[in-house]
Amino acid sequence: MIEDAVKRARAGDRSAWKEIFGRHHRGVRRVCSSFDALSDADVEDMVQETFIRAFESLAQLREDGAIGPWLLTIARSRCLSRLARRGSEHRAATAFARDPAAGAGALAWEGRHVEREARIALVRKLIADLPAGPERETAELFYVDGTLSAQKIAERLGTGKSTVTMRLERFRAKVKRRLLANLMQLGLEEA
Amino acid sequence: MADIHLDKERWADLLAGRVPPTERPAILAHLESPCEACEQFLAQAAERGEVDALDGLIDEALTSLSQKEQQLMDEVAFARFERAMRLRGARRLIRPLIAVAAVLIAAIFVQRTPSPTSREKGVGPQGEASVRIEALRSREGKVEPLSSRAEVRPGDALVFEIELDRPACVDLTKTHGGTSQSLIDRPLCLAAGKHVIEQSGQALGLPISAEDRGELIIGASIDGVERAHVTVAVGGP
Repeated sequence: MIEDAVKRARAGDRSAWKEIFGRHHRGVRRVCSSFDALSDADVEDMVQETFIRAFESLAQLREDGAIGPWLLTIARSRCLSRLARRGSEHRAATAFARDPAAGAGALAWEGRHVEREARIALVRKLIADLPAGPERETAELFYVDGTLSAQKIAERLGTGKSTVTMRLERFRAKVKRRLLANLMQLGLEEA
Repeated sequence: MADIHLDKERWADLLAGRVPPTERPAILAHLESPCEACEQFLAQAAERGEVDALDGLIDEALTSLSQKEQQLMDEVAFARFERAMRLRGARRLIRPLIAVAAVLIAAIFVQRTPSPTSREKGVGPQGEASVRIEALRSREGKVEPLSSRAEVRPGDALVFEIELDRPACVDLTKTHGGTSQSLIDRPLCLAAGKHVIEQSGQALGLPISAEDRGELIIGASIDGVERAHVTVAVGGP
């Protein structure tokens, strides 16, 4: 149980750190490697920073079972902050970016959850519904295959890395739009 | 509703659940169908540096799609992370201690008037040195003296202060559950006065873990003979 590992980690149990790291490092690395301007070395730094920040802020995690999304929120924020520090066009302007752990309590919309399995099914359906073409191919290679970096995908598809990361952002935007619609639907059904 | 597309204000209202119930069906209908303008707004969130409550949920779903490598542990990355955690812990302890150490050093120089004695010339201690050891607790970046009733818990760290009445080389040991271990590579040779214990130029911070629960004894010894010790109660969940 991941909840048990979180409790033990909060008490300083290093074997629990390893359990949590082992379960989530791949997802954290994937999120960080979806940013065009981060090199492979930057991504490794961001993975490290994410877990350090998370373990130092574990007291702020309100739901132990939500550690996965919480870690990924921290990872995204850390990456944006790194880019902001470089003076790129990215600006880590939100409260989450300033204090990534602040996202811990905001993992439900008006108290309604879309369970992990339902979210995965939603994402699978969105990929399946995409017309055959570069956007679908990019999403499948990056998320479904899950082993190639954005740079490798760019080389395979004969395009630039920034094009790949832009396609990934567009795909995430579709997922986000649909996920919010699902949450609203749940709310309307309950009302 | 004439313009129903997403913008910063509407998105914030949606996330916070501030949209009036009467407007929700229309917004829902809009979100359920593809909209180039809304998707562009959402895709540009990263460029604006925005992270919101849905991002972690989405990233979790997306990164769960691949079954490859799910069970593989990256031992190298974990070792790197652990090393960084240790270094960070030590650095966090150092910052407040630099200030403490500066005050202590200043106090030592003020107290000791320049009347050289044989000991100060480096002849070495004559007779037994008097040793006093005190534990300081470091919690969430704050270092404070440990009162007799205070308890430490896993996640805290201990820092030690030694006071000598003459120069001596001191070893520090930790005893827990009948097992003793040295905390430093070799005895530290110190001048008379108060010292925050350092190693390799950094304050020695002893991290407290769940395995330390119970009574922890930190002893200060000279030439293998314990001269002083401090007992720390380790509790916590």
